[in-house]
Amino acid sequence: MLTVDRRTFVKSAAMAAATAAAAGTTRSFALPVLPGSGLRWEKAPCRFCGTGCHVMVATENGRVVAIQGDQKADVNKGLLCVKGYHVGAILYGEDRLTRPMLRRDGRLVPISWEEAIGIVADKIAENPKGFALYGSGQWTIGEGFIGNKFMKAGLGSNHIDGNPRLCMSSAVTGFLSTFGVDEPPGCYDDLDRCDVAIMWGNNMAEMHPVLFSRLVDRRTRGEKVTIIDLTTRRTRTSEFADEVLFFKPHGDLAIANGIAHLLVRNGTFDRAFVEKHCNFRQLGPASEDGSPPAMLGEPMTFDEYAKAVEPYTPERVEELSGVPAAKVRMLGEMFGRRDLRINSLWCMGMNQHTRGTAINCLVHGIHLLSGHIGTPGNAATSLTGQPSACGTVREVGTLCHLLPGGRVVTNAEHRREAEELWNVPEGRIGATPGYHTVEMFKRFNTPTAEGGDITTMWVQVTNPGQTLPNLYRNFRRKKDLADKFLIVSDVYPTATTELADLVLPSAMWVEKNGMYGNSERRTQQWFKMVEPPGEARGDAWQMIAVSRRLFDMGHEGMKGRDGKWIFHTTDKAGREVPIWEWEHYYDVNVDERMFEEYRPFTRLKHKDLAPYQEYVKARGLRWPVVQQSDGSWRETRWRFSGFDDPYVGKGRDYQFYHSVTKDDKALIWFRPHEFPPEMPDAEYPFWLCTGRVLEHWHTGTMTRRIPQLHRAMPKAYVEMHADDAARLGVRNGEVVAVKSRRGEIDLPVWIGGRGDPKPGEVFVPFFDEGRLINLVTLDEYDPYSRQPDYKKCAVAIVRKA
Amino acid sequence: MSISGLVLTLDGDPPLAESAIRVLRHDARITLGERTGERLAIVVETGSRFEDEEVYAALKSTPGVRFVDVAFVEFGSGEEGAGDADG
Amino acid sequence: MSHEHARRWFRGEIAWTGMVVGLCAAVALASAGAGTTRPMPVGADDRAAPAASTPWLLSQPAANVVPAERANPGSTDDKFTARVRSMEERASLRAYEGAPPVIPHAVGELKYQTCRACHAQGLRAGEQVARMASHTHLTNCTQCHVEAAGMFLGDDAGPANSFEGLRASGYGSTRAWAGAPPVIPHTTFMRTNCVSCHGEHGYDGWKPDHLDRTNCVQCHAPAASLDQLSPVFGEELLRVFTSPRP
Repeated sequence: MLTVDRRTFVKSAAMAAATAAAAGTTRSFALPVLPGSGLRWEKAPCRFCGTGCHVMVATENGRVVAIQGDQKADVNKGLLCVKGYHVGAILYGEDRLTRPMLRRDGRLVPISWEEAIGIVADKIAENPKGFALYGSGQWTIGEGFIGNKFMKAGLGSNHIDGNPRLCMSSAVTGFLSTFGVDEPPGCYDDLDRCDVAIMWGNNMAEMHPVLFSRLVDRRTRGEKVTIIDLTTRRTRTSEFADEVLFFKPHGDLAIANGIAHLLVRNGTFDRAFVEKHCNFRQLGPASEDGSPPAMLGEPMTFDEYAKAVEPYTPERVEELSGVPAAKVRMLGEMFGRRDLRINSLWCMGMNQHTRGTAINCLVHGIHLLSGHIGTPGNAATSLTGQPSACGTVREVGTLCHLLPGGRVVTNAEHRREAEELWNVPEGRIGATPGYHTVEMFKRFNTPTAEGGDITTMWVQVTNPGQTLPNLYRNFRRKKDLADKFLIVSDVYPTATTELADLVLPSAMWVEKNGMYGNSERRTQQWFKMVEPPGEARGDAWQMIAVSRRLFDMGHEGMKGRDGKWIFHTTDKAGREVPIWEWEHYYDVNVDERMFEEYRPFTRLKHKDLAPYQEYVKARGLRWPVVQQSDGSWRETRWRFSGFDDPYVGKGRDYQFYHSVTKDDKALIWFRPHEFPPEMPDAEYPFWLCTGRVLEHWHTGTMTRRIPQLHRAMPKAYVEMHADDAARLGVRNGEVVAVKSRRGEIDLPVWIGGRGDPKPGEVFVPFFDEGRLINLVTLDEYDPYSRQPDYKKCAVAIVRKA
Repeated sequence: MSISGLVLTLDGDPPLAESAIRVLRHDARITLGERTGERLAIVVETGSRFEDEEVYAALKSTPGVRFVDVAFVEFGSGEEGAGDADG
Repeated sequence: MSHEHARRWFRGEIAWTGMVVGLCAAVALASAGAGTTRPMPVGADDRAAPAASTPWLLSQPAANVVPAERANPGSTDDKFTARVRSMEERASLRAYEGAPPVIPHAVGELKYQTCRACHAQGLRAGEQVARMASHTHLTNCTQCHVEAAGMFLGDDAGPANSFEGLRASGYGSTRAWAGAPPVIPHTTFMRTNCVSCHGEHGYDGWKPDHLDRTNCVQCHAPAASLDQLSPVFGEELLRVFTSPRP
């Protein structure tokens, strides 16, 4: 709070009020809380999605009592969605986990933290190679950094992965394939500047509502924004679209190739841009052992590219995708125009796709081919589902093949740099990638004697018991395997804790210090505002305590080059602070220490982060954040663009300075249309698509404990077209079985509901732990991103007797 | 202690408005703020509610001041509240 | 907050500090002659006293909120009844003061323009009132406002949650002196359209006697402790106050 006296404070408020009134303005302004009133407002990013809205959190008597959209935040400018407005209530669900619990004779019984930390350390020490850590895009940057260091630099194991594997890893492989470096070149400012926004299988009105409003509210200010909704079902986004183009599942590759075809055939591609800044690329032949061709492919000439896209005439695209040829031409013409600014936006529709890397590459490709990139309003931007999928998992590198700052474990130089920065002996970091998510869980769910070499798993801040595809195979089998041990750190009982052997109660959101990184490269910071309930403690502390226990047990990996513990922390006087003891954890700001240790990692790929204290002042900063000659720190909105990115060479308009081909050029990929691995047939005649709804965030463990959100959207349902319902003789609200080759669940039918699928397709949201649609879904995944396809599999709808 | 934020609407005749501002400037209880056209923001700080009302009345009768509008009011704690006589 | 409790507070029998108090509340207080409630300084909200708050859940399905009775303007008691009922009605639709209200009727999955058919201008049909939107520049209504009782709710009472939301500040007085215009006792962000609550289709008991005057903030200024405030924000205000004036 301010250190001014009450009188000055009140006078400033009085003047502000009078000034606003004198100016005759109706703009809102606020008066300060007077010292002593007990109400305290502080900034924090919202706990939920990857948009990265900032909220103002009001606390009083140690509890959160109100939330407001942060008017100072660039991202949301004071607006929130219904989840954000109610985010404060996530702390207060009645069944918060407040004590460590161990499963004894089938029941979870309370134990002490001392015992719990000992059990985890013993399990790891027993079989370090069989231990895996499964984290999350909801890990704070500090937590992810600690987890990554603990595993890769401490245990020397790469068996750490995270749920973003299920969420945005196809976006990563798309960016890597195209630009040689991850994350979008553009940012949310493009939403304010584009003339056309194209939704690629993206229900933005429900999934990123604040960003969607940023777009559509321009219309009420008299601006023209054309929205093209490429979709398989009618959604709330469709209601705002100028064109709703329905395509058959998997038809998106054909549409993108059709646009490329028209740009080439009509000669409307941006020849100058392409010659100066692009190379063409295709996959090589598959290797003899049946493994897919290398991700980064091989060169092709423009002529070869033109020939490759030649078959994708509008008529052929109509055949493959169902989008009328005339509409395909309209899209081609749109991209061919230089005077339109086009922003492509996507999320899970393109990422949860057995051809996710391919479709991501193709959308970047048509933007590059037509020069619709790198100027405000022209961008191809993937939107992220979790608050720090970017900041933590992609940037800190908590995936099985990554090291912090865009490094990979397979690169000897990268390993050496990481060992240097972490001050651990050379050779500590393993050169082979660990198991990716689906593989990790498959091995955990396979008897050890049959090759299931993961025996102990620690899951933090995520709920794989609900989100993994094909849950019987990938999660539930564990129940009958005696030699497997599952540790879960969470805040509420979930479908994952249901099978846990040890449950650790965590602190969440404003119960701890934290940093997140959102979809537009924006790194955000907040401080702890309230105490966690009962004995709940932060995930970062939990890992630190286990690491210390292993150090005390003499585990060599927990020692750095100097023989000191790898998380050795000192105070200003140089004395060691025992941060492994909970009562001393907040003696220093561990989050800040970890962030400052992490910062040097970010330089290699020009993802420079500013000092921690800069983020304390800001509502997030977009990297690269580069210090100016006057000492200030400047964020970057458009990466690779000469007018904004300080790393672009002087006098150059664009420079893709992490180019795969090392010549500062981006890659335009050709990827053919192919059919998906499972399609409807006589036995399973419907396409099943799964997804989210506005009111609930992911598995609903937080939002379903908020009365307002739960009451608005109480349970899962199956959306079905009225014609199909009539044919099957199913009434609205009637409970049917949704059945696949893998499993079945019962759901009420919703006809003309939240969304409206085409005939032959059904949609089911995955938020409801009482109705787990992932018992039904398919676990086929993209060969490069290893991201499963939750959007397409074949099901039957069966009437109950 | 009583603090209020007021908006004065000054006379359309510039010399008259200026003379009003000169008068206000010499009153230590009054802090002048931003002026937007004929509207001027001020803060009045006095020792009591009673004195505050006196200033308010004085302002209303100051030549060059056409209207006085109240934008903000704060009374020191412990004082009796204002009598809201009208319904 | 029960009606009877509010009435007792109103009569000065008990202290109640977390009540939603519109600008008319102070008026009601004075007209009923109950002067025992300690006036509170602007911005201070004495919430340390035992508040008569219940866990902040929807106390009942909002669709069943009893429409406010039309008050008899001649009777002080009826006036009070209308005001308090309006406050209760308003509070029952919100998790906390400042939260977007939930929708007290089914919306099906209608086109977004449908909301505007009734809420753009406001509407009264019998006892049913559709209030005018308090803000004008937002089009994706269901982004913030969700149904109080969704399609498949049935008799599901909803989850237990002990979140206790901030209530609107109660002020002993919102006037500087007799005759001075009362200040606005709530936030103004997203609530720039005063007639939403105070206009023709607004809440019973909250309407001014001068509906013909439309530039409300000319005379009524915000005095809320509810708006978002951080140390940074406070510093900005301070700058406004301390920077040199021409």
